[in-house]
Amino acid sequence: MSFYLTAILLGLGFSALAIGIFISLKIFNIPDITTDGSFTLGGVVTAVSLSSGISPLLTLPLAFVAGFIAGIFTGIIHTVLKVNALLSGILVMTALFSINLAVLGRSNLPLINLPTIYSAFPFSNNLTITQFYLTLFFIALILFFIYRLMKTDFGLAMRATGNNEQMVRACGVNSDRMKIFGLGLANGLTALSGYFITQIQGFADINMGIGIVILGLGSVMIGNILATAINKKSILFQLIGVVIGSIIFRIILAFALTIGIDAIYLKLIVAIFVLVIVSIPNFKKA
Amino acid sequence: MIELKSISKTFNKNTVNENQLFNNFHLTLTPGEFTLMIGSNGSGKTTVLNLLAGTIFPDDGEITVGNTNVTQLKDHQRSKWIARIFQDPLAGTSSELTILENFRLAAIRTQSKKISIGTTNQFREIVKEQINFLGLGLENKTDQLMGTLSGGQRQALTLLMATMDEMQLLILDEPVAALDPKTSDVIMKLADDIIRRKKLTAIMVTHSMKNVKDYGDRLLMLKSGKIDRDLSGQAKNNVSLNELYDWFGN
Repeated sequence: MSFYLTAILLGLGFSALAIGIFISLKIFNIPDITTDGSFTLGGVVTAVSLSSGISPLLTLPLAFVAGFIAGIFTGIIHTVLKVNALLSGILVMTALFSINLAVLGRSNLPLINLPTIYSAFPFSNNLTITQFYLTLFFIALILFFIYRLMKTDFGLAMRATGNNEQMVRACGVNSDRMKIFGLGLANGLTALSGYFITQIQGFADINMGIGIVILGLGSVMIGNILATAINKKSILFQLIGVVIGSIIFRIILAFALTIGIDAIYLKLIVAIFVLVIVSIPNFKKA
Repeated sequence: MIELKSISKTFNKNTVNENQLFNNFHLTLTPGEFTLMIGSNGSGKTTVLNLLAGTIFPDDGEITVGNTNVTQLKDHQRSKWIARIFQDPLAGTSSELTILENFRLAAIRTQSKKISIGTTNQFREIVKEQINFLGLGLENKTDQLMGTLSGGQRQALTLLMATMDEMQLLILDEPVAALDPKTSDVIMKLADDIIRRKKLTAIMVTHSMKNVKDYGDRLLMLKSGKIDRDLSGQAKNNVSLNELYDWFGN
């Protein structure tokens, strides 16, 4: 059972990243793969910050801001320098590998005996349960904040930017600035996933972000299928769907491992699984 | 008063396709006047609208709205004075937002988009009242996504949305060209009604000679980047359809 609890916990930890992908992909219509780099950046900043004695609570905004800045770079390269969105993300992701290594100082940094956000609020004797409740609390907070933001006038302009750029510009919105902010927000959230996962697994690793973008994409797709299935397309249900999607994703991976599939084939399974959920909506149409 | 002064614009400069469309072009739009603009393809109608809206910029010359020089301002900055209706009936609204949210965005066209919720019940009542005026039965569907409506409904709402906030100029780029004849009639009547009622300054590009006869105070005919004809009042009303077709002939 605790095996699946860990899977759910990881799903929650990764759901901030999934919300980030939801914002860049679904709201702004930009395929942003800065994610691999900004997730690791969040983890790296967290490990270094905790190691140097900064409190876990204060480390949270630090990780967010680090990811936000990374996203702003992608946004500026994409809008001001007019570089293709995918390439902008690859450029920043590549650059971040060096940055992350420089910040971390080595390729792996364990958090042995360091205070984490989870040791700061020990709800239960069982560490996994403490981690579960606390991560759930933060994700709920993030969800609430993003949902409220999307309902404000600023949020409306954000959502319309990805949907109809001509219209928002005619409504007096600087769509370029909006995209830069959106990519900042998306990658800030991604870095928060790095913050949670680093503290859950107890270390930061320079390679922890490799291929992580697929998790976010898969979660967003599952969320989309769920929201469509219950015919609730409002922004709140879509956001909740993404979080549930992230958890389902992890449970399926855990299940694959329990039935004895070799860990070597894990990425292959992830790819096939995402392929299946991406093509489900198209099958229905046909 | 909106003015294009001594405008020059060359497309594809320094290439074999170089095309000097405007050379020392002038146009003055008088407040409260509804101007129609016709002309063959490539005569510069759309360029005039784009120059006014700020999606393209002149090589030389000046664009003013009232006492403000807006020549260097981009489209989203000029939206403070200028509202636009596009040819594509879906282009003026966002399909992913509800009717109410679309109206909210349009209602704050000239203001900054703050981090506060503007789609209040009070705002909803204002929108309902506006939509009620259309008689399309949409007033109780303000939470419906815009994407679920037809092109005609969306273009009608776009017109209402444009007038939710103050403006100095309304630009209409063939607003009914993509609609069926009946819807097209309804939308044109609505546009004319709004322009009259709110005493708006408007400029519309059209290819419909019927619309030229039925609407507007002033008629401009563009030919190769020059104003070939400029008729107002009685002179405009007296133009026959045959004459209009002849203008295009040579």
